[in-house]
Amino acid sequence: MKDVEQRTWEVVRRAFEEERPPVRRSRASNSLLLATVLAGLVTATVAAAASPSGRAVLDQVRRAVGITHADAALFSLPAPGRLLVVSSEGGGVWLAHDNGYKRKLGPYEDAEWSPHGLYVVATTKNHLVALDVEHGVRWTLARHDPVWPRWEGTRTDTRIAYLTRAGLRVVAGDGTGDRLLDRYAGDVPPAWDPGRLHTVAYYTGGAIVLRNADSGRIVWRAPIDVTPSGLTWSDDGRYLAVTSSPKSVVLDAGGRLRRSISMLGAELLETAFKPGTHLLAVSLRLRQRSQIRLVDVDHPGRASLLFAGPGDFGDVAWSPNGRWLLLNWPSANQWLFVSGARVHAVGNIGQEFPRHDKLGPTLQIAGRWCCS
Amino acid sequence: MAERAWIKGAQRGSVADLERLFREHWPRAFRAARLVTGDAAAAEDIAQEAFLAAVRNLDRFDRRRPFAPWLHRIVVNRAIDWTRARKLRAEVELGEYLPAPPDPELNGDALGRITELSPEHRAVVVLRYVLEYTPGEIAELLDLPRGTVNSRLRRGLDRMKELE
Repeated sequence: MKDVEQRTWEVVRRAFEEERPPVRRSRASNSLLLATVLAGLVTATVAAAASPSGRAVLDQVRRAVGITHADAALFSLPAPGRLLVVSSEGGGVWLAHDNGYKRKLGPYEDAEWSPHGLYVVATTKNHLVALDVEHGVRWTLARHDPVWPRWEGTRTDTRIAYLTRAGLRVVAGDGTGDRLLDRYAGDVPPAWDPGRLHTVAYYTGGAIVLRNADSGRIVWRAPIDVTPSGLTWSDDGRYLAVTSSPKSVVLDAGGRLRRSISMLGAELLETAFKPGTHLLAVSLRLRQRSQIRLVDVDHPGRASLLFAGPGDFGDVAWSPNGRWLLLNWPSANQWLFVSGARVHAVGNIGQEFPRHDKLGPTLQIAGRWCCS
Repeated sequence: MAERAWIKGAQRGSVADLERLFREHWPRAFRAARLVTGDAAAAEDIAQEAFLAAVRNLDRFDRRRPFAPWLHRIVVNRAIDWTRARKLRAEVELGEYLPAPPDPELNGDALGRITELSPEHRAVVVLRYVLEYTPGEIAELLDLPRGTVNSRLRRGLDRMKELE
């Protein structure tokens, strides 16, 4: 009982230190120093976004939110690996290396790594494209509006699942054998089961379905009472987190419900399993603030607050070694690298991956930090 | 009087005063959530959420009012919601939900039989006999007519006697 009390107190104390103005905090908590939120932040942001002159106001609001002493540019990644960054609205797909080198792969709308990080599958308005990041395009497949490509398999035998207006399709890694898997699949990115080769989880007809892409056999079907926005597996394939706005339900490898994660009054945004663990990073929005919590799926009740701040959080991505969590914080125009109590901020992130019209980009990074 | 000083201190940013407030109120908040839900892990989440809500709303809290009823209102309502949701999940056959192991605190005594009651009945029994609120205070906490509180108390106790 004392353990439970102490654990809860640590969470409450941390939340309190982040809520209070900086002058009232101890030196020990200075690593999480946040600028004070301007009153009426949301109103100001919405109003400012409406006009070019308002954009200056929006920029001022952005400068008022965020970690002080942020790096002025993405000089490096804190862990080995390479990161794909999708910059929306014509910003294209970028490749960022851990030494700070980055380059634009092309004007693609989305991109994901192959299972071992040797290739990238990308989409354009009317094509699915497989790329070798060093030598360019390997093959293309013409399809209307392909979205959310996901690549899995061994070094010699891979499959790519993707959605089109006509449903969920699967194609082999060499571009052959493209076929429709489910005409009625919902608009949710599919997720390959890491524990079963060529077996994909997706949302269809009010249920999560796990299905072998080659045989078409349904392994299990789990009805759910929410419309999911994302699916994410733990590395060992033991858990599948199904995230929706009010809650995230965690299914086991047999499709049985193991946990339901929600928070009073909060909207869940995204979840990501820490590599090699059953710890689930949960991004959520609570009124005008957002939080990242780390939930231990194996031990109900064990959840810690990783970071909280004003405005909206975007995508999250774990480093391949699981030591750092990268958080996109559009309201502050920053990226945060969080490791326990350590927080490293990179500012001006919108300018690092600009879109063609100079507006602030929406950056997608979830699941795209790969392969040390 | 001490509680008012702690709230005032916490509103000014004192971690020490917030901790005094937390240590004073956490055990009863956790116990109430545990009795209503019958699940220690859920109770931990619920008590934590209630204190986080307190932290978020600290600046707006009226120091002249007692802290406990405000906290217990959140705890009990959330615990009722959680218990209802668990029942709903079972009804829609959303997989094989794995319930927590039996709670040792609830086994073998009068409080053990509380898990046989509906969430709404559990809540009023816990508020009355564990947290020791009057029926009038419970009515205010749960936004219920006082007659409803009395009838739920009576039915709850009758049901627990039947199970003896």
